Amino acid sequence: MNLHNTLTIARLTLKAIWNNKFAFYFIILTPILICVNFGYVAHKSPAAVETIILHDTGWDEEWMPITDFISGYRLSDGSKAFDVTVMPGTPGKARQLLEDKKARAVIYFSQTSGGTEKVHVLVDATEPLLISHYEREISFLLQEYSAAASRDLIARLPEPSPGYIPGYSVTAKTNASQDLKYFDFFASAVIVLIALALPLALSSLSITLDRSMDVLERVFVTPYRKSEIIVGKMAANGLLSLVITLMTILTLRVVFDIVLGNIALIFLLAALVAINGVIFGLFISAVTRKETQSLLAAMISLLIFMSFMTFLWPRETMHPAMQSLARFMPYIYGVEAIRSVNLVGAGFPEVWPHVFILILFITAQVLLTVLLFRRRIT
Amino acid sequence: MRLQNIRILFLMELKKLWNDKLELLILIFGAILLCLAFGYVAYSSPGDMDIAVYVDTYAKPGLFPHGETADILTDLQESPYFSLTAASSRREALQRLNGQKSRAAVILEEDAAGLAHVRVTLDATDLTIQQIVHSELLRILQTQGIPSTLEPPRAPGLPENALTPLALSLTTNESQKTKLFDATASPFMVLIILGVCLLTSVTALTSERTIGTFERVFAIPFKRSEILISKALARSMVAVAVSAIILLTLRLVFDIAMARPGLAMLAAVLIGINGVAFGLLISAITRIELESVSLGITSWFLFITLMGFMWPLETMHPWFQSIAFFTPFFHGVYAMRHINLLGWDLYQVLPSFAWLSGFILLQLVLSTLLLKREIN
Repeated sequence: MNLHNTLTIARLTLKAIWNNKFAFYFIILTPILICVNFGYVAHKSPAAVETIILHDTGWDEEWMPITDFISGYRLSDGSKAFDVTVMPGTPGKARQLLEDKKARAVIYFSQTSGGTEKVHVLVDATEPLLISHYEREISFLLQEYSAAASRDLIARLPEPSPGYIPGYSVTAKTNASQDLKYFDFFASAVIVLIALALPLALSSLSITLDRSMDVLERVFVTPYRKSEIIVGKMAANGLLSLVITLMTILTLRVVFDIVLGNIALIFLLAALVAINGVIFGLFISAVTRKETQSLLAAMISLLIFMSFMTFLWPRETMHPAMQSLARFMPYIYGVEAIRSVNLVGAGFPEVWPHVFILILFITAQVLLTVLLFRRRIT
Repeated sequence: MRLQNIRILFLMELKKLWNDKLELLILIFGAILLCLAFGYVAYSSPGDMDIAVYVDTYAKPGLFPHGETADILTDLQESPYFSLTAASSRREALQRLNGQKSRAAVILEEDAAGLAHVRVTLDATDLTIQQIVHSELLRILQTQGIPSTLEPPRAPGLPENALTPLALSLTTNESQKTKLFDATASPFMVLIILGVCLLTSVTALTSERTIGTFERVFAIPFKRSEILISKALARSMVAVAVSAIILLTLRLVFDIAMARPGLAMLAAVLIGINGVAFGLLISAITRIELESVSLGITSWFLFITLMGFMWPLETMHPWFQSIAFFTPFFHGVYAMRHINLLGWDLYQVLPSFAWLSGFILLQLVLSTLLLKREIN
C-alpha cells in the first residue's frame, strides 16, 4: 500500500466535502443541534407528575394524612414527586379520569373497619417510564409512611418495651465518582450514538456517490489499489468524524455540564467508535450500488446497533442469543467503556480491553471492506 | 393540476422503485430484521441480576434470635430479580461491582444486638437497572426491617393492626395483558416507518437533479404540484408496504398487544406519508444528495427524541414540550400507543389523525412552494 496514493484519495474526499459549504457547515453544526435536543428532552427525572387522589365521602378521615404525605413527598433531588389534585369520587371513576387524560395516575384507598388497608394506584399504560416512576416512588413513600407511623406509635408507649428490638438502618448509594444529574446517565450513550450515526451515514454514501458521479471511473483508471482507496476514504471521513466527536463532547460539556471522566480517554474511545462507524459505512458503500440503497442499509444498521448498545434497554432484557450477538458489535464496548470512565471514574487500566476490542473491529472491517470492494463500475 | 399528468409521473416513480430490486430487498428484509432485533432485545423484564453479597458476621450464624440476616438472604435469593454471588470480603463485593460483574454490592453488617446496618452500593452506569435493583432491594430490606422491629409480641402495648404496613396495588389501564416489548412496540413502529419513509424520500428530487432527469421533466409542461403529488403518492405505496410488513412481523413473531389492527395500520400509513412528505420537503430545499442526507439524518434524530419514544413529556424542558407538540410524530406515537395498549377507537384518536393529516397537507404545500424549477 502506497502512502502517497492513500493521502491523495484522502485529500480528494476531503476536498469534495469542503467544496460544498452548506453540507460542510451543516455536518459540523449537526452534533450541536442533536446534543442540545437530547439534553433538553432528557432534561430532568420525571417530577410533579399530575396525579389525582380520589376519596369516597363515606370514608373516615384516615386517608387525609396519607394524602398529605403523598402531596408533600419529595424526590432525592428535592423536587415534588407528584402534583396532586384531590377530588371526591368512587374507585369506579378512576379509569374514566385516566381515559380523559386528566392525570397520569389515579390513587384511591380501600378501607375496612380497621381503617385504610390498601392503596390502589391506576397508572396510564401508555408511558412505561412513568409506570416505573409510580411503582418506585409510591412504594418508597408507603414504606416511609409506615415506618414513620410505627415510630410514632412506639414513641407513644408509656415505657420502652422490653421486647423491642431497634431496627437496622439501610444506606443506599451508587458507585458514581461524582454527583449525577438525570441527563448524565444518558450523556455517555448519546456521545456514542452521535459519534456512530453521523460518520456512518455520511461514509455510507462515500463510494456510491463517487460511482453515480463517475468519479470512481477516473480513480479506477489510475493504478491505485483497492486498499489505498478504502484507507484513503477512511482517513478523510475519520478526520471529519473526529471533528463531529469533538463538537459532541464540547457541546455536552459546555451546555449541559455533563459529568466527564478522563477527557482524553473519552475522546479516544469516542473517536474509535466513530472510526468504527466510518469503516462500517464504507463497507455498506462498497457493497451497495445506489445512494438510496446505501442510506437504507445505513439506517437499518444504525437502528440495530442502537438497540444492542444498551442505550434503550440493558443487557438483562435481551434474549440470551441476543446477549451473545451483542458481544460481536463494537458499540456495546464503546458505551460500556465511556459510561465507566464518565460515571464510575474508570481509567485506562480498566478500559484497555475495550480499546483493544474497538481497534480489532476496525482492522477486521477494513480487511472485509477491501475484499468486498469491486473495481467494476456497475 | 391534471390527473393524467399525475398518473404518468406516479407510474414513472413506481417503475423506478420497482426496478431497483436491491433496494426493495433491503426495504422488506430490513424492516423484518429490525423488528426481530428490537423484539429480542427488549425481550423480557430484567431478571437474575447479579448481586454481590457480603455478610460481616459479628458472631456465629444463628446466634441472633430473630435471624434477620438469614431472612434477608432468603428473600434476596427468592427474588426473581436477583442472582446472588457470595463475596468473601467487602472489597471483593465492591470489586465485582466496579468490574461490571455485579449490578449491586450488598454488605450486611452485624453487631452484638443483631443486624445493625445494611450498605447497598448500586451500579451507576445503567439507570434502568439501578432503579429496579434499588426498588427491589429496599422493598426486601424495609419489609424485613419494619415487622422485625415492631411486631407486637416484641413491642407489647402496641394496638393490634396498628403496625400493618399499607399494602400497595399498582395496575395500569391497559386493555389487555402486556409484556415488556408491548410498551415499546408502538413507538418502535413509528420509529422504523418514519426512518424508512423519510430517508428513502430525502433524495427523491436531489438525485433527479444530479442525474439530470429533472431537466427533462422540467422541459415538459408539468406543474410543480403534479411532480410533488405523484412522487408523494408513489412513495406512499412504500409506506403502506413497510407498515404492513412491520405490523405483521411484530404481530406474528412477538404477538404484540394490538387492540385494533385496522386502526393501527391506518395510523402507521399516516405516519409513513408524513415521513414521505417531510423527506420531499427536505429534497425540495436542498441541492445535492449529501445535503439532503445530512438534513434527513439530523431531522430523524430530532424527531426520535421529540416523539416521546425514549422520554415522556414530563422529562422535557418546557420549551421542548411545546416543540414536541408541533411535530407530527409525537401525535403518531400518541395515537399508536392508545390504539394498541388502550384499545381506543377511531372517534377517540380522531384528533391525532387530524394533526397527522394536517401536517401532510402543510408539508406538501410547502414543498410545492419551495421546489425550484431551476436546475442548478
